Amino acid sequence: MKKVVFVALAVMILAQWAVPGKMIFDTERTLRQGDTFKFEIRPLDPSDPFRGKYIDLNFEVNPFIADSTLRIQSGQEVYVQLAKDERGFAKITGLAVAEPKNLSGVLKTRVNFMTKFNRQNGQESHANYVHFKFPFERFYLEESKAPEAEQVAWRTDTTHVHTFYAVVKIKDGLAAIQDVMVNDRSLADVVRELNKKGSASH
Amino acid sequence: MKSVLKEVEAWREAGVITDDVAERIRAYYRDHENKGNSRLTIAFGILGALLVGLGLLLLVAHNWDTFPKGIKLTFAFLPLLATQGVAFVLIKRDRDSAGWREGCATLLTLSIAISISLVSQVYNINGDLAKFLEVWMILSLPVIYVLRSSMTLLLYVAGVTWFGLFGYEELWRTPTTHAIQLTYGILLIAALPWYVRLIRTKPGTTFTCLGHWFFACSVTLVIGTVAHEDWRWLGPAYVSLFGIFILLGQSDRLSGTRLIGNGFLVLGTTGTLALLFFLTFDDYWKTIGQLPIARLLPREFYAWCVLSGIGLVLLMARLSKHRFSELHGTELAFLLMVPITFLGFSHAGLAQSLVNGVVLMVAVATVWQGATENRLGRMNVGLLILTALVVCRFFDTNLSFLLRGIIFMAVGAGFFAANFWMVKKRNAHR
Repeated sequence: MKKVVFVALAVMILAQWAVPGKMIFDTERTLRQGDTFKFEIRPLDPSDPFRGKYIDLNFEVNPFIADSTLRIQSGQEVYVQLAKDERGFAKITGLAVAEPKNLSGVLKTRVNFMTKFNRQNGQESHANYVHFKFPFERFYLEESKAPEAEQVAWRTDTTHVHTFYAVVKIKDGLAAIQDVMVNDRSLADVVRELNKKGSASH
Repeated sequence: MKSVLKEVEAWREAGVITDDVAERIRAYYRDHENKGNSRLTIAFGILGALLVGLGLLLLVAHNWDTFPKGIKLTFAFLPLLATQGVAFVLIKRDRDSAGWREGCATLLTLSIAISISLVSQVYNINGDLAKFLEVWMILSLPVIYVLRSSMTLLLYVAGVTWFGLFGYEELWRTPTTHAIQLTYGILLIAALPWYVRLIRTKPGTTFTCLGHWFFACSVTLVIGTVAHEDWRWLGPAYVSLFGIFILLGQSDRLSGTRLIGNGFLVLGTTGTLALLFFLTFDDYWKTIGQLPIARLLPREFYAWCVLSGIGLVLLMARLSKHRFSELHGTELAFLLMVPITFLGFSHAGLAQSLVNGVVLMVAVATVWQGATENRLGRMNVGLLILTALVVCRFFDTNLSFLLRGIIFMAVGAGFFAANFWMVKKRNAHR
């Protein structure tokens, strides 16, 4: 009987290490070997009860205009082909339901919802819009820094001087965020500087 | 207790009790004290583990930017490693201390959440809350069985319920996959063997009673996620669910439990009565009357059929051991609602009147049982149901004020008469 309990304990311990272990392995592999893409973003500041403060990355690349013959549903897993635009930012050039043979520059993601109507920069347009739920929409920051980061984002948004983007590594369809940048500087550094200035002025 | 033991010694010396009786009394109190101590150890063990675990979770949530990745990951796995180590030692030494087992299992369950949370935080891995809860609960399930932990069972049922509630979000997606509902069902069933064991081996204990409440509340909260096409079928489905709860609460295994600990009976009875009262108004019947017959078969309809079927089996099992007159009335309500609901499609008014009849039947049966079993409390509950029914009809019937006044006076007089009769009967009995 005791033997059975020990075997059960061993299997339990193995499973409890395997899940976070697999998460680390997959992400480390993607970070080390993946292709680099820059995604333009605008962050917000929600909080997660377990994992603390993070900024929600709202991607400029969303939505994508799909072929009207394509049959997809919200929540469905799809493969998007990425390329770089003239400014070096990621853009979606294709969408497939089945896994492509060549996974170079391909991101496995989910369809969030579809619309027939979109409004961007005050202009309305009608097409088959697909909004994605990317697997890298959160960027965790130290508790005190997340609201500051949002402030930085809104400041940059109103003045239109800075660019705000996420550096994402992609390999074999999997993605991992490397950093979030403001004007080619790490967001964490920018916020740290802001905090220092704030405490100096006090 | 010391004073009692002194008294025992004095009685023994005075020859009031024999040496043997004195020793038996001392042994009784020693045993009693041990039980109390063990309960305290379990309670403090769990409380300590919960506080430490939750404190660690909050420290993790702060997200320490200054620490390098390696240190953060070490912290992610440290609580897991430590609690798994303690679990190993406990099993190896075969120490059957419930306090240690429960405390270690509680901390281990929280350590699993810490490790997944910190790894997702360090690597910015998305994963929504539902997915996180699902993985956490799957990894916590073996803790219940390996460490024989009832506290983990409660945490697990709470976590699985939280996960199941995300099924309501899923309803807005088209087409709905119902993947969350299916996973919820499998995860809840996976914990049943330990719960059944608890009922068999430790009936009436705090953990077992909490188990009744947790399971009953969980199913009540999540069963609504089966809604998909027509929520109007959910009303009868819930009546059947509460009927099942009442029958489970009255089963041989649970009927000995004190009322406050019998979550199934309390939730089932209050739920049945609340729903029946709702159905005595015409709002529901107005909408079901408009239901086209072609839409007879939405998913909610099947849920109702399955729940009614289970209820019927339980009712048969109860009737095989007890006489029909021993039934309380509330456990029959779900069965009576089957023909009444179908009748509601064509004769909404008649169906509504019949539900009023069912409530009246429940009230009269409760009063009758209270009177025959000499239970004043139960008799008054029956009278309260009757009063509530009269008050409800006071608002939506076209009866004249004269008639309503007479009915109210009659019910009030009934209250007085019944209580007076019961007290007189008790006094005569004395």
